[in-house]
Amino acid sequence: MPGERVEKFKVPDDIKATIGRMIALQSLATDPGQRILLAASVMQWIRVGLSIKYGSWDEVPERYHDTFDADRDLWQNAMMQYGRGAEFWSHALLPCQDIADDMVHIAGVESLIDYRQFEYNMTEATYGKSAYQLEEESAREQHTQQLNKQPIQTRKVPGV
Amino acid sequence: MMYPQRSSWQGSRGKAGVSFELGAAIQNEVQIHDDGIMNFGGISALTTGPMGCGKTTYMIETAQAVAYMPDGLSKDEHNKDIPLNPETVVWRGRKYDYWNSMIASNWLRSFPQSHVARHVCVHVHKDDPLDFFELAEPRREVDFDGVELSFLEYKNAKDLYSNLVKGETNVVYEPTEYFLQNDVVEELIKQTLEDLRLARLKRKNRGKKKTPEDVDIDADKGIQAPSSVFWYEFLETIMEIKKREEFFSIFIDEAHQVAKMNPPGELYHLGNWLANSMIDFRRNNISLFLASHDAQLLDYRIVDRVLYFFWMPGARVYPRISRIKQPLVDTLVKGEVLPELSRQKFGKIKFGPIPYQPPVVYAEGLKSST
Repeated sequence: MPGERVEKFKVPDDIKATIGRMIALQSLATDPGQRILLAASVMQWIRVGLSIKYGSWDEVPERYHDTFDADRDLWQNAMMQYGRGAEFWSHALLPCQDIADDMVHIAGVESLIDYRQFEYNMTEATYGKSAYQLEEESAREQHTQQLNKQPIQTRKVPGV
Repeated sequence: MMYPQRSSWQGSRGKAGVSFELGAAIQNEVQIHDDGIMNFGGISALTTGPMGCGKTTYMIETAQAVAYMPDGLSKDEHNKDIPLNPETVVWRGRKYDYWNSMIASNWLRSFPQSHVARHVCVHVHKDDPLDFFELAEPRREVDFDGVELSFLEYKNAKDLYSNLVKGETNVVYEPTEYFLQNDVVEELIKQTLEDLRLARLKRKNRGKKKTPEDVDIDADKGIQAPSSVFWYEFLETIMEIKKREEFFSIFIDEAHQVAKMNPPGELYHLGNWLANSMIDFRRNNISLFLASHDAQLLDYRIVDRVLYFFWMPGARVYPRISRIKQPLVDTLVKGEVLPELSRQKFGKIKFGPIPYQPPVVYAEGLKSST
């Protein structure tokens, strides 16, 4: 797209996984206070991801600045509603949902979410699976095959 | 509303937050090399940790993997489609050693999916009658079949260089009695050791009427030095006579036996020899891998020139060479390593055991300190 800012850096998988976790936590939170705080965390982490990806916050496309500004206002409003008392909590939760919608959308479009658990095992990466691992897998497979061959034992219920 | 601008992000991370991605990248930087003039060249690495933490296993696994980029390509361009060239590995042989793990059939038994099948050649000095046994029950003599495992004798460092099997693994046993060649002594005297010969000659002539100048160094043998000093000469020789396009990786396990902390007397000056050679290893495509129980057991002139550190469980880190904090290392368990580009970046990796590690090789006729 003409005039579009270009991506400068690759966002590390660690940060993508953190964003993924934050979004998952935020979507599961039921306590209004917790949900408000997690909404802010999601915004912070996505901001970090975007800043890394584009080199700095200033380089991030303008439309995201607008979204973040609007969501920041929503978040402040949610905070105030929460402070007013329990009868206003629904007014606190609704903006949080709007923030989540925006943030998940940005994270998805910008490929900032990763749920993979990246773990580097030098031995396995260089030489493949070891003999122990292969033997274990083979034993497990044999065991499963044996189990599958056995007829399923059903207990006879007297009188039926 | 605008957020206050921050130039960079920083945060505290526990062990769980140490990056595997960075660890993998550092491991690749150490394992894969490129040309020292066009790109980065050889590296130096030190693995530290207490006895039994897996240093030797890790060194063996790295030794089997070292390779270099073809056609002068940079290692930054490495991807799985570019076939790598195997480097010539020189492994310092010890009295009790596990180099037999690297023999192709043993290695493939442990790692059936591996593509590594290196020939192993054991090099022993011609005057050393060494016998090699595997300490199984009953103990059995090592079979040098000439196919997977061969045996060669060398006379001196130059001879050893010409005997090295290029692109394969060479286990080198330093001579049990080592004499500094006269030209080496002369060179050292020229550089730093003006009093070396004088002191020796004074000692030699104590109680004699001759003046020191009347007696010369033994013309046949030279000056006797600790066996480990052979490595200083050998590494310098490799650098001088090797073609630049040849890539070497030198693995020195228990490196404190070669470059110990606080070397006494003239050995201190000899240590400078190795330390100076190290400077040019990078450009000459020589990589040096050291392992020791602690960084402080080694000569500071060597440690200060090491680029990469591998902190094993139980290792002690030092702020001068590392930016890792001790509590982080204390959380490691066996099979985990913190690789670090000294004071720049660090990550975490895991490594596995060698499943079918053959019995330890015992070199009969060698001093126990080797």
